Amino acid sequence: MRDDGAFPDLAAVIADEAFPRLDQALRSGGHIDAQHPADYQFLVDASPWLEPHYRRYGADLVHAADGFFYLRPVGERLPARRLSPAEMLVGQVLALFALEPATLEAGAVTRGQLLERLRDLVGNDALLVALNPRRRGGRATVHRAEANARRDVSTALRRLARLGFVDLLDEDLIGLRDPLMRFVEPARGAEDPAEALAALVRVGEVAIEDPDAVAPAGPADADRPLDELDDDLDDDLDDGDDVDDGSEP
Amino acid sequence: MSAADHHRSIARLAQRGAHLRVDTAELCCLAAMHLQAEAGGSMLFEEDALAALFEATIAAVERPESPRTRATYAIERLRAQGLVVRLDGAGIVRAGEYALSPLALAIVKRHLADERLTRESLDGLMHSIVAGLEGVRAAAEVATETTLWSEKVRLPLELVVAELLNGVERRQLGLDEAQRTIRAEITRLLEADWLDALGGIEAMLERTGDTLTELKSLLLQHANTAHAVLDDIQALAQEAGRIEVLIAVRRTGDQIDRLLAWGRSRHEAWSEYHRSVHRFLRDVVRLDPDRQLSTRLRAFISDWPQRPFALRVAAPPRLVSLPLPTRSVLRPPVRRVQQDWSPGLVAPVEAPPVDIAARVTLALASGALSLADVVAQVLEGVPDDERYGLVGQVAAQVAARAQRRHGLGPWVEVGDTDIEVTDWTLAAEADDA
Repeated sequence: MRDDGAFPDLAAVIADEAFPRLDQALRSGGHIDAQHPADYQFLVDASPWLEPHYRRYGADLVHAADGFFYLRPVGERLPARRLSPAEMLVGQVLALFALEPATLEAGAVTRGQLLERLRDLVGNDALLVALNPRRRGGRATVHRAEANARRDVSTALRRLARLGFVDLLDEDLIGLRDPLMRFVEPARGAEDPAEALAALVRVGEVAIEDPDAVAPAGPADADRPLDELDDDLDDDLDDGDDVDDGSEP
Repeated sequence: MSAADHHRSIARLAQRGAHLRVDTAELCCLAAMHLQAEAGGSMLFEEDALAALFEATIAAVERPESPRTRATYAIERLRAQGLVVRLDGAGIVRAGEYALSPLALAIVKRHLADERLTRESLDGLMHSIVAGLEGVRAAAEVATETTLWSEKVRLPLELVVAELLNGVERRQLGLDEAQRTIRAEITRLLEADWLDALGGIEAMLERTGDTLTELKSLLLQHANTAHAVLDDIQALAQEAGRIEVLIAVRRTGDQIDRLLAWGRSRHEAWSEYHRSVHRFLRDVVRLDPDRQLSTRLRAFISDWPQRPFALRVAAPPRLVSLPLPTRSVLRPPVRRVQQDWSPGLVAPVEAPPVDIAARVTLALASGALSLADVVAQVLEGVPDDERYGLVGQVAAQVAARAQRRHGLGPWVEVGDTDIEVTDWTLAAEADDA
């Protein structure tokens, strides 16, 4: 264990009892922020050794200015995945909440507020398709569509919580964490949005998706029963979001 | 009070429709009574004086068309709710004297007092608590009789010290409320002024943070002293075997620990809030003075279905598990064993042991009216193993000689043999055939 807050070499970092857990979290896409002060401080102290260590695996250990760490795969040695459409939409809207003073007072938002804002910004029909592009069509009843949207948002929230973007405080409240600022990154620059995205693509921060994959389509399987739609979600949970972005070995 | 009593009490209240409704003007009237009583030294109000006080107060607060009517109505409502009570007991024959009830006094004091925990109020209260505890310890050191333990030790602990601690807790709630107000004020300032609000917000944050830090350390310091005195009282009570005092000591200790826990939790919560606000001011307000970031992010979200992109994150490697080679087992299909249920062929009897034709003639002549009767008579005396082969010949003879009245009849047993035939009913004139 270190006494003075610094590590003499990489061996000391790896020998620290916190390393296996944090290494596993980072390699699984997790974000470590100051909400867990001990873990965050460990990475602050160990980053001079860990940055070259992970670079050998083709990944950047990023220490974001907003105060969190994450691993960004840029080579082919470390597997990567893209966030699903539902995760992206939910994450961006939560990031928007994080920029608002009203959220500062409460420190959290409710699922109802999240859904309402999603509908406001994306539009109800487009939202239903965008949340789950594999569930095409619009003949579902209002009640079923509402249930689907809530379920898709819940799934996305669970995954975002696993990655350290949010805290699920209870069944309704969502605690916002600093890593949500990653979703704000494309909007930070004053340049053209396409240029901003292209710059982030170059550093491996984001991947551009195919618009046809998320655009509204015909009612091909709008009448499929709910349990089949559930299967879709289960598929998503298992492997549907592991889109090959070309960086996997 | 047991749980059942608790529910019964609540049910009785609900059944009675108990309620308390005091509007702002009425609350101001009660406060005016209290303040005037404090200034004048008398708690009692003549009826006319009370009406005048209410009228003046209501006129200042609400400005109604008829302050006198409104004042009369307010006095009636407050009397009906037991907040203003008549004390003289003279009935309606002459004007009475009125005063605030204890309930009204508590309400007024709660609203008038600034019960926010400050460094001064906490210091004063905690000093009083420690002094009270030291007095109790001194009494415990010399107490010998049960009466002394009860009057000088237990009761002061349960009443005086506990009441002082309650005072601290009430002020803690007041401070909680003040913090909520500050949070709301910070939000309001940011929404109204954004970048210009920075200075005021930072000052507000620092001030509240400093207050909480100060209160936390003050609480810790006094709580340590109080616990030390309580330990002494506990030791004396244990030595004297005073169980009731030990219980009171434990309760007082718990209450002090609660105060400490409050101080710690509020300090931590404020630190977290402080950190969030500072991050917000640093990363959002200072870097985005025109609030363009939110606008651009909104546009990115609206356009996302047409211009989708996704954040990339590290993913755990997939474990590829190859299927184990398995040897297929050939299992023959399950089949039912075929059995030959057919009775088999019986060779015709070439040389009948009896004269079939003669016996048939005899049977018909004797009045047999069915094939079964004829067969039974013909086969009489024939060995069992030859009977079956002869039945067909008998039937042929009967068919040739007798006339059937109906078609085929039911299957019937032939006499006492094992043979069954499809019976024919024969016509009576068969003899002629």
